[in-house]
Amino acid sequence: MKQDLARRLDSWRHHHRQSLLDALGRFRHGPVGALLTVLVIGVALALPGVLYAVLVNLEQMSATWRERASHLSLYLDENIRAENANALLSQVRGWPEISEARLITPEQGLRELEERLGIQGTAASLGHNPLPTVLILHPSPAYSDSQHVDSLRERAGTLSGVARVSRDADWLDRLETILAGAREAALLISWLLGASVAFVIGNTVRLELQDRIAEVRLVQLIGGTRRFIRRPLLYVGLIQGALGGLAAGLIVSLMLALLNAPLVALTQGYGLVLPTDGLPVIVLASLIAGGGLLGWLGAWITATFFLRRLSTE
Amino acid sequence: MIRFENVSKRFTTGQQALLNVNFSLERGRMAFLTGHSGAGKSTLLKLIPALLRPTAGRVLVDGVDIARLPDYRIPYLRRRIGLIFQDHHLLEDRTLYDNVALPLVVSGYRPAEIARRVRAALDKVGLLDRERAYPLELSGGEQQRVNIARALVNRPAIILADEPTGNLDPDLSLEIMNEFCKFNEVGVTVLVASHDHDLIERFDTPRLILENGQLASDEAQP
Ligand SMILES: Nc1ncnc2c1ncn2[C@@H]1O[C@H](COP(=O)(O)OP(=O)(O)OP(=O)(O)O)[C@@H](O)[C@H]1O
Ligand SMILES: [Mg+2]
Repeated sequence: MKQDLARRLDSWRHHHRQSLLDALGRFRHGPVGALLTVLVIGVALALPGVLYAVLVNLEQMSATWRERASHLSLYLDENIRAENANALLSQVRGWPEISEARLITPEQGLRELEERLGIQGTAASLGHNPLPTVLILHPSPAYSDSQHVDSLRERAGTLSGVARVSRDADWLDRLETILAGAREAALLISWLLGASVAFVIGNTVRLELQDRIAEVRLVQLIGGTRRFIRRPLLYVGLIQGALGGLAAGLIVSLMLALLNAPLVALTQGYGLVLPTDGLPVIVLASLIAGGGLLGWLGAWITATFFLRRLSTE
Repeated sequence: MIRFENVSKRFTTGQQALLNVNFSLERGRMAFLTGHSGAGKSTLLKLIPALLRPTAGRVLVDGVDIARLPDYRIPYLRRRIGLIFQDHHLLEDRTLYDNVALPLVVSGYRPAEIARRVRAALDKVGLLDRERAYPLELSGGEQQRVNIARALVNRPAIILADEPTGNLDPDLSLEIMNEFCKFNEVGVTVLVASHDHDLIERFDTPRLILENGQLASDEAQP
């Protein structure tokens, strides 16, 4: 009994090795067909791969931007007096959700602006300083999510002497809403294209089975199990799928490299820094693992149905 | 070893291939299955390894009703039966060696054991020196001998042969029938379907005679 189990385990391992060799042998016999299959899968997986890579990058950016850009700008009444502005400053400094508050007088504002634009004597030429006094509030980290910032913004708006509150991170909220939608869309597209990968492999496996139908029938006749017939085909699916994932990774890297220059130019125009790491490792790993899994699945489903139909003919 | 109890087989086309067939072939016995073309010989043989299912009655192999075997056990039933077909069923893109080795590969034997058994089986049918040849390089009779070697290689308890001498000349036919008798002498249960009366007449082996799907004579019963 124990010996029998050992023998069966041994022969099982042996057959796995044989199946793997057999699967690799099929690549050697039909390298063009196998290469085409791999490329088709690569192209199919490239789209979700690009979406995923862009999403990962944007989400990283959005997180860093949020850290930097969660502050509120309180524009004070035009003719507010300095002591009133200072009173406001010390008032908001007492709020627990504020980690830092800073006052920018019109004079400071103008100086900063002139520095940044590289011009001098604006006020002199205009005859007066058009800038308002601005109070900058930085929420402490615990309060920097958009809900807390919103309520903080409302509260600041009711202070007397505050004309208008603006939040620099408003666009980030919008970006994140768009990203959430994009993630849904990417997921849906991934499902669809993932299914197409399973179909492509399934078709390869079906052709393979049809090609060797005489052998398949004979093996069933002399006592080969379904599992025995299926095993090498599962390796074919797994290997072609994983190679397809790798091909997709290369295509995505290439596309990101091509997209990189225009994206950097675009974002620098807005004073933003884009992380340009290229293809994130997690995306490459997902493509290879996902491709392999889908290939295996496609092969399993096709082979199982094919053999079931064959044996009930 | 093989027992049919009121077995009928009706195809979905409405063709009644077997009707109420009863017989039993004890372990280590041999019988011929004869009858006109279309009498149901192939159908009867195919019921034994569950290549077909009876529409009524029971087929027992070694005391087990094969209708009760779950799907996944069927391959193990087939491994105990050596099948030889009317048409050769050799894989043309494989050498003789690989063709004969197939039942062992399927059963999970290791290469060393496979080599030993394949050579022994090829030796038995006199084709040891042709192991690297391909089936199409062989004559019809030689191909049939490869078929027999493949049916033997697994050391089955039962051998079923469907027209094993189909298109062979009389001398070769006799030689092959003698081969089956030799297996039977070492304890294998053998059932051979044939409508070659001249050939069968030369053996005093019991006969099962089918006529339009019914057993006319049951000389194999002890
Ligand atoms: N798959 C099938 N579907 C429908 N009818 C079938 C099928 N196989 C066989 N038959 C019919 O069943 C009957 C018995 O066929 P079977 O092949 O068992 O005859 P046989 O005795 O082997 O004939 P032969 O000596 O010509 O080989 C025939 O009338 C045949 O037409
Ligand atoms: Mg027949």
